[in-house]
Amino acid sequence: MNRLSVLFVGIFTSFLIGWIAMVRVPLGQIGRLQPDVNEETGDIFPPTPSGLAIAGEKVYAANGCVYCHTQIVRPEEEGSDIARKWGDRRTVARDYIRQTITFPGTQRIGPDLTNVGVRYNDAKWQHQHLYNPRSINAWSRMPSFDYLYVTRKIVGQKSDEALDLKGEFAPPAGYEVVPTTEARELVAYLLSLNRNYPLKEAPLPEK
Amino acid sequence: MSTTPSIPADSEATAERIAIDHSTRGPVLIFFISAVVWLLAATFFGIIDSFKQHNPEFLGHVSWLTYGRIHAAYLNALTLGWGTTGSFGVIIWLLARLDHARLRIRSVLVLSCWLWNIGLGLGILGVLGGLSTGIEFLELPGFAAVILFVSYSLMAVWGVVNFAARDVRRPLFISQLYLLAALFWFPWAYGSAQFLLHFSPVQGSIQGIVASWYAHNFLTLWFTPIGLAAAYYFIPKVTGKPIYSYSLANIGFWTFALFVGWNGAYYLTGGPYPVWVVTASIVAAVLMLIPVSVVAINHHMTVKGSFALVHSSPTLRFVVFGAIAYTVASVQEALMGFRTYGKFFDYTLISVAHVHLVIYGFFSMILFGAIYYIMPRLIGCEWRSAMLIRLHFAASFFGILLMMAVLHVGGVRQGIDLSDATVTFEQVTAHAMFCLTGRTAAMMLLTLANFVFAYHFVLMLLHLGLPAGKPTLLSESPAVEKEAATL
Repeated sequence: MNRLSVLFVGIFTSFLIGWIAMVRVPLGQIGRLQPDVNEETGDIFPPTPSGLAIAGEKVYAANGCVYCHTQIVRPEEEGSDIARKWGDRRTVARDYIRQTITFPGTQRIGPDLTNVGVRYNDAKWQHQHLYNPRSINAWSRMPSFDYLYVTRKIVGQKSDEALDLKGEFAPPAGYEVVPTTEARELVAYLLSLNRNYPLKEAPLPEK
Repeated sequence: MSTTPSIPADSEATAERIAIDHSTRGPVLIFFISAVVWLLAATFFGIIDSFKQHNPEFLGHVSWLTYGRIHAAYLNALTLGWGTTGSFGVIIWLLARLDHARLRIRSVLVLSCWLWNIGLGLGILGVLGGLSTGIEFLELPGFAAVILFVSYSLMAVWGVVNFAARDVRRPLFISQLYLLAALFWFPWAYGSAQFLLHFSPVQGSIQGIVASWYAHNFLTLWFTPIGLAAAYYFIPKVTGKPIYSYSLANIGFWTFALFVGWNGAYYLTGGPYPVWVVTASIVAAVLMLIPVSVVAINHHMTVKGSFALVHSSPTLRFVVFGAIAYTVASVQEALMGFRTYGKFFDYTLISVAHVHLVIYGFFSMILFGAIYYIMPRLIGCEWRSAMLIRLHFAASFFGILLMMAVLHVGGVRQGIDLSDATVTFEQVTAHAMFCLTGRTAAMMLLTLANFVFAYHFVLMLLHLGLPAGKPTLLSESPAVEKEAATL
């Protein structure tokens, strides 16, 4: 073999080893996990999210929520995540198997969202917060996603879905703010974020 | 290569080099023009991005200007736009010179450049329009990724054709190793990540590892080898001295090749991944200090004794700054692996600081240095104003320093705050405000730097430079930039 082919084989194999180790082997190890069936209760975890919640993943992706929010709860000894009540237990690989796109994230400009569906289990609250976070927390630096909502004239009765906005955030008299389909999908997704169930490898702590 | 006819004499070599430079003119220029346009686009997105972090209502009511989309546009214009088209320009020019072969199949390169720009432009429009995949550094929608992949394949075909036509009498130079490896590794990493995350997504349990591996390696196995190849070429070129130790350079390359693919999972500590993956990655991050120190020693020893040139030569000043930033960034990266560090500082602004140190401090600065060297050889006139280059350097220098300072101070504070559950998120947010405002100030300095550079670049394109012959230097220097006979 001449020097050049040695060179190419070297460049190829040195990288191949790393790729196999860091991509291919983990794929074989945890790439085909099954849901956990609880033998006592017959519950299957993680639960299957609704179609609306799955559609919401795309809205979450499109608007770049992942740049400021993680979806990882680290174990107690690796950070304050559990002390901050971002989750009762650490997240494990099986928690993510129902999601078609996962958003582990790299930044905590905002709080972790692994269990946001537990903390704020109210679609109205989620909608108002997305419409303008400062209508709930004046100090928040989260963008308003008001473009996911429509302000329209109230015809007949006010819509059930209309946001309950007060003060400077309220629409003009005779108007209401209602979510678009995208906003409904996003909120369904956020409400589906709930890791408060036991898994074999990650039981819930005794209360 | 047993028969080695004599290598042409010096004057012939110079004529041949000029002919080779000339043959690269069209393709390299079109890539550099693209790079500068993308740099301005990235600067524009970047300043909006930075401003929104402390003023969330700023341009806040239009979907395509929301932070999450602007940020994706910024990242992609900066890395796939400025960084990558600039890299292509440098790769073409350097490989043509090092292969000692006039450029072949130039039209393929021009086509590749247009495809890249179209793919990236459509992709960024798609992201702004709400088609982002939501995976960091892979945000572009699928159709754009396909166009980019086709464009890249054309580049790779050219690389092989040109390499096959090289002057086989000459030994390979270290920069060629880095460039060939980069040309080969990047599509592999990009293609496999795109496939596993986007076109045929693997189970959610594993996506985090693949995404993290790619996000990290996009910087280390694409930008790093190109930056190092340029540094290895320009430092000896400008100082007129051969590389201090060629065997060190080889050790540096091969240890780099061995360890680089293992990196990328170190900041997943505590994440839902097999512990061994994270541990292996931490070990790799520390092992990377071997190639890093080898390169640092080699560059330092080559420059030693020529520090006056670092002051006077624009190319050397930018390249040496970049090389130092590379060492600093790599040491930081090794630190980031440690679990005690990660417990506090994972998920904080420090990782933003690190990414910017790699992209701006290391890679962009080397790219600027390379463009300062290459352009006069393509255009046939010298840079018009030493003052503009000095201004460009000073604004970049202080911009990067300020950004590193504020993001580190802010990141350390944020990390300590977050680790204490009694500090509310409201307080964490309030404490970070100061450094986010400071970051915008740093971005403004970088904006100034980039616009000064772009203006100077346009003057060059319009042939409004100084007459060729005497390079534009930043200060009087006894030694003038010269072409070292050893290369």
